[in-house]
Amino acid sequence: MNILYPERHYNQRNAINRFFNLLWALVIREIKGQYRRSFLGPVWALLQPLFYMVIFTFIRGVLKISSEGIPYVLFTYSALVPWTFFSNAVTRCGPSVMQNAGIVKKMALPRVVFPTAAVITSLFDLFMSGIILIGMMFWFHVPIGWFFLWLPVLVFLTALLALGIGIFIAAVGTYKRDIVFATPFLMQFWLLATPIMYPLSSVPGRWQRIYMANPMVGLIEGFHSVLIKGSAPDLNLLAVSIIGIGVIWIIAWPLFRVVSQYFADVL
Amino acid sequence: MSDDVIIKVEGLWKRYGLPLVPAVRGLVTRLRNSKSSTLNERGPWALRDISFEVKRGETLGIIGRNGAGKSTLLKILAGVTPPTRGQIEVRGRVFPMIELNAGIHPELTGRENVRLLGAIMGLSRLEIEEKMPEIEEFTELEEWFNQPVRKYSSGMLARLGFGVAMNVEADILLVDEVLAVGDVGFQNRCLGRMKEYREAGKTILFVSHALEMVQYLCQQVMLLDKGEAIVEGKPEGVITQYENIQYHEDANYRARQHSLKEKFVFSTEDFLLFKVRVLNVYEQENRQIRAKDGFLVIFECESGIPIERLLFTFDLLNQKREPCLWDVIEGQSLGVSNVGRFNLIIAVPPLPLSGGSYVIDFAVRVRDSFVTLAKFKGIAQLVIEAQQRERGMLSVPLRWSVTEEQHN
Repeated sequence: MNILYPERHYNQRNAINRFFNLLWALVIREIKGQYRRSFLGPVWALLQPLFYMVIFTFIRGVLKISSEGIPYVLFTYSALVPWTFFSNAVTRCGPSVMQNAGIVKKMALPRVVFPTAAVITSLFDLFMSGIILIGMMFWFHVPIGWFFLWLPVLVFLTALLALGIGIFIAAVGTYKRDIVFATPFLMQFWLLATPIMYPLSSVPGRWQRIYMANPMVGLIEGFHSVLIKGSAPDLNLLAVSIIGIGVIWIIAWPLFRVVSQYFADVL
Repeated sequence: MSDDVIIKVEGLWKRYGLPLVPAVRGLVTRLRNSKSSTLNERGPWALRDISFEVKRGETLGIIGRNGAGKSTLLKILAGVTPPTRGQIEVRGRVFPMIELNAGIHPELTGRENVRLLGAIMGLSRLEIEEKMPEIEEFTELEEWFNQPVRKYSSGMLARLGFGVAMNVEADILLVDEVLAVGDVGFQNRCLGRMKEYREAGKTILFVSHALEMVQYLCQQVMLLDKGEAIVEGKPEGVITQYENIQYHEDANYRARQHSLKEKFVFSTEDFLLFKVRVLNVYEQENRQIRAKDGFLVIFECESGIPIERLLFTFDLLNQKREPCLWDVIEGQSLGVSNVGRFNLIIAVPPLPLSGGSYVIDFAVRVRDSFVTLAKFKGIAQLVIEAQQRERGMLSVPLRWSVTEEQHN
């Protein structure tokens, strides 16, 4: 098998421009299209984490969950904002290739543009729900400092993790839909396996080791440190997360690369 | 590859789907039974061993029935799906004019969707904004241009996609049935643009069912059938061959249909029909029949009533079930008085009948009482081979001339 498209070799820069151009157009389409016919529009992006926050606050009243002396609303909401971003991004990635079947079947494009657009679209929701978070932080007089520069790093790592898992789901799910259907359940489970509703310190010692295998733990703890505890993230925890992200990419990327060539065949 | 060859395809095979599944299955079978080495030959191939070359500036038409592999071929050339086997060389930028509206969002306006389509088709943002007025004019949407596209008719949508596609620079255009949508005016403008492309020295691969259009737009035509390239050559000849294949297909299909539908047959004990044979002039059965040679139809039958008291009706109908030939004969004039088995032979003389698939109806009645003894509809199928492209019931060259109108 040998395909020669000479133009592709000397037009690398052009191809990169084209990729970002298309990425941008897809993100604009999603954001505009998503809310155009809704009454509340982008306010929906705020409601999702707020809804969880209300439920968790209620559950906490029943279960007496500790929040390490931090106002619980702030404690859980500051974790729910990045979590909702992560969860939405992953959930959107799965069907992203199928939803763009028309384009996939027509144009020879790097297919990774579709899951990437899904993650970036979710970034918009993150900014929306971040507005309320900023309000809360002012309300509770959260300390502000240089460590806030960690935020873009943490957001980037979360996006990278979401994309890694997202391309895996897209790679497999485009062939057999089961994994796409299962994603919402898995995300519910994952939510409970991450220190969002409760602090990391309340996880029993013998579970800690397995618990830490979840790369979201380090990231959420990082967000907690920066947003409410007034310090830089714990680098050990973060390193574990980065290793986790690396492992996921090592599995997901080659899989996606190979499998995505044949997407047009099965859509 | 010589300089003026822009596309070169050699031994191209394509089977859809992830090659992993057949590979695993192949491995399993190989472990079980080491003899079967022809594993790769199994399975449904979308394309089988296609080879061709296209020269720069040439327009190649690709025709064939649905599922022949035309679109698959274009998809492989567009780089959308990889070939299973074979070599492809493409020199230059390919632009597939297929599914032009892929990716549009129904809630976005025409203008917003134009930006999106531009990005999908590979125009930069600057280029799109530059071309926007031109596209807006081309689409003739006016106030609709700023309305959500969900309100558009299919023709309006088609114009949107085409308007953007027209502005894409490419060396090779892959056109797949895009002209099928839209009104005549729109089609004419699209054709005009295609002509401009051609004059600019661009190469076009044109897939269409509109054979007329293929005939006049293309220099070369390739006929695909069941994934194989049957013939490649000048449009006229290839199209005629394609139509003949279709006639045979149609006749076969109807043969199957009729064997199921017995209601077309009415028969009594007094008259039995055993067999109908259609022979060409060389008295060969199931062979090529050419209208200009004529043909024979033989009915093998048995009658309980003397032939001289019977009345036979013969009917030849075309694809649309329009009667093309009709004749009736009194048994008396056949000059035999016979009870029992006999062959009734009808010689159809050379006639300028158009190529196509035909069916035969046959009826037998008693001359005096007009009682129907037997009636057979679609009792036999035959294909008259077309010699060139033919339309209408008769294929007769007309005499065309022009007289000059005198103005004073």
